[in-house]
Amino acid sequence: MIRTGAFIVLLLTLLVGCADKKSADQPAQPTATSGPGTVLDPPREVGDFTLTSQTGDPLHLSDLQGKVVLLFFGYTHCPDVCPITLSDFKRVKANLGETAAQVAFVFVSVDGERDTPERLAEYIGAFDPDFIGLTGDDTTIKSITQDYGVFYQRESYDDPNYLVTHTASTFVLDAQGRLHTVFPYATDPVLIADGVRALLRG
Amino acid sequence: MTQAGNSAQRRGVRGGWIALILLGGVAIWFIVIYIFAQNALDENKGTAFEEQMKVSGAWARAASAGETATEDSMGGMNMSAGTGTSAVYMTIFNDTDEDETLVSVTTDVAGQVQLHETVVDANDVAQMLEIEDGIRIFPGEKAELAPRGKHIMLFNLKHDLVTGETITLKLKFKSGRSITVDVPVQAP
Repeated sequence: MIRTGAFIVLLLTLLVGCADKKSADQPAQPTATSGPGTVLDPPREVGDFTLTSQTGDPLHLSDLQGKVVLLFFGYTHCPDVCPITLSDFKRVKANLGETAAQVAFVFVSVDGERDTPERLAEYIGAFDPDFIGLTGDDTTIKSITQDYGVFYQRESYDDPNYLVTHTASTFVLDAQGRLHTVFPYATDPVLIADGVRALLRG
Repeated sequence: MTQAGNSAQRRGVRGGWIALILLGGVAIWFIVIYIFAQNALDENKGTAFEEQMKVSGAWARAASAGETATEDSMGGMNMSAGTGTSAVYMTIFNDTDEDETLVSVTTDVAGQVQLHETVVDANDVAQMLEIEDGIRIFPGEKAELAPRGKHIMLFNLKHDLVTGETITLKLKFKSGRSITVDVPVQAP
């Protein structure tokens, strides 16, 4: 009798144990957020900056005034988050149709060491050659990211295959170059396009 | 009891013993055949296993290998892997009766392969973490390697991964068994 009882307890422990491991091994898949981004009211002034574009020429943020700007910070050796976001940018552009001419899609590298203009040109070109890729030295990048509250950190200085941890939000500047909306990572491209349209309508 | 009755009883007991021995013989034959069949199955284990670890929806992200040739100090060219990276996604369904854990992946197109998971924290900071213990798949369940989550990370691409081509990956499990998967390269 006691033995049977002990066996049932053991069986239950095993079952519960399995269930626990299962949930620990398979966390919920992150899904696209449905809500719109954080709107800054009033829009916040951000500093102008100068970086090198994928053509090798300098580009000032102020050059893009008059357009709504979508800014994303990433690196070309990033295999998941960055290409997914650039694919989402493609969807935003497609959703906007002709209106997309009034929008600049910008990828700012947080890995100036590896992201040369040539590398950026190849990388950006695989998504849309009209997208703008920007790179620069770490000091410049650091001051820009601080302005936007973007965090980034190179994970290793020994491993040439280092990864970079970074903020994955999309920053939207209005036509006057002010920070207007911040969309969290994995926001539905349709919602971003809606936000851009609303901004262009004023 | 008559004498005839006793002798009939003895005959009955003897008959029982003979039947038992015959049955035992048949049982031994069954065991022998079973062992032979198992050995035969073991020889085909790889294929049987590949049929039971079912991979679907696999794709690799098109990517540039980066610089693959460098000039050495003697003016010669060194052909080496580039710094390019890519990610491979797939669903693996474990149709075996045993727990399996995907522990490593190898492929001719990459110098280094790791199992990774993208984790995004409350501040929207994205980090890629290596899945050190492998990806466990319970019998009858599946592992989803999908964008924004788990993926097979390819480092040091040896050549550009071009949309339309197919790469081959070998997935190794903790049990020592492995499967080979053909993965199409798709637009990034």
